[in-house]
Amino acid sequence: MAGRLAHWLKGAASLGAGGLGAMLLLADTSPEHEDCPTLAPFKAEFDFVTDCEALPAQGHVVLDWQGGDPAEAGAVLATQLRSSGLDASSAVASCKEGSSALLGIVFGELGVTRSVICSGMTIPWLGEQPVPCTEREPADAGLQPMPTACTFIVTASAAPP
Amino acid sequence: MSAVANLAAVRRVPGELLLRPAPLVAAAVIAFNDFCLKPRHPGVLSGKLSDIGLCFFFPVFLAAVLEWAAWLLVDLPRSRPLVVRSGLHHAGAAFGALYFVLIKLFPAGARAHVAWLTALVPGKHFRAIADPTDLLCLPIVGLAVWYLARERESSR
Repeated sequence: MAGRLAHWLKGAASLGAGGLGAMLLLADTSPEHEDCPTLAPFKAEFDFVTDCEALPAQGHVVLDWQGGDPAEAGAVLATQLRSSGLDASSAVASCKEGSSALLGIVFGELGVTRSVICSGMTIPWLGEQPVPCTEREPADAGLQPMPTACTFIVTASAAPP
Repeated sequence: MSAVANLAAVRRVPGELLLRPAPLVAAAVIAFNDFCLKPRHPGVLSGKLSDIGLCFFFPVFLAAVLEWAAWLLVDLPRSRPLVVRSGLHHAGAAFGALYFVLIKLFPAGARAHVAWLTALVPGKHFRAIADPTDLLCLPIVGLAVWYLARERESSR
C-alpha cells in the first residue's frame, strides 16, 4: 500500500516537474526575457538607447524585416506598438546599405524623433561586418526607398491615457 | 532507509528523468538567468546561460514527454509497468538538438517557433531571434545524451 502511494506520488512529482519545465520553456521565449546583448552595441555608442534593465519598464518593439514595401514595415511596427500600448520614442535600425530612406519613412510614420541608423548590418545575428552608426533626424533620410532586410528596435514609453 | 531512498526504490514512473538533480539544476539555471541575471546584469554571460541550461534541459524534457506518451499509449493499455526505451531518449535528444539548431541558425526557424508557440498559447507574446553564436552551447546536448544513457543504466 505504501509502495503504491509512493509510486503515485512519484508520478505526480514527475508530471509536476514536466509542467513546470514547460512553463519555464515558454517563459524563456517571452519578450521580457530577451537576450540583452541585442542592444549592447548601440547602448555603448548612443546614450538614448535603452539599456536592458530599463526595457521591461519602458517597453520596446523589435521587427526583423525581410524586405518589401517600406510603408508596410512601418504599418507592422505601428501595429505592434499599438498592441503593446506603447508610444514610440526612439529607435535603432540596422539595414543593408542604401535603405536609409526606408528608415526615414518608417520612423516618420511612427513619430520617432531620435533614431540611430546603421548603414550596413551591424547586428551580429544578421551576419555582416559592422560599420559606424550615425544619429539622424528622420527627415535626413536618403533619396530612394529601397526595400531590403532590416532590423528595427523601437524603444517606447507608455502611451498617454 | 531514509524517505528519499525509499522513494527512489519505488518502481520507475514515466518522466522520472526530470526528478534528478541534473535537470533540476539546469532548470534552476534557466530560471535564475531569466528572472534575476538578465534584468540585473545583462551581458554576454546572461545571453548564453539560458542556452546552456536549455541545451541540457530541453532534450531531457522531450525524452520525458515521450516516455509519458509511450507509457499512456503502449504500456498502460497492456497493464504493464513502464518500459524504458532508449530509442525515445535518442529521439528526444536528436529532436531537441535539431530544433535548437533550426531556431538559432535560421530567422525563418525562429519565426516558425514563435508562430507555433503563439498558436499554442493564444494571447501571449513570444519572441525569438536566430543567433548562430548560441550554437556554441550545442555540445551541452552531449551531456544530456550521457545523462539519459546513465538513467537507462540505473533503471536496469
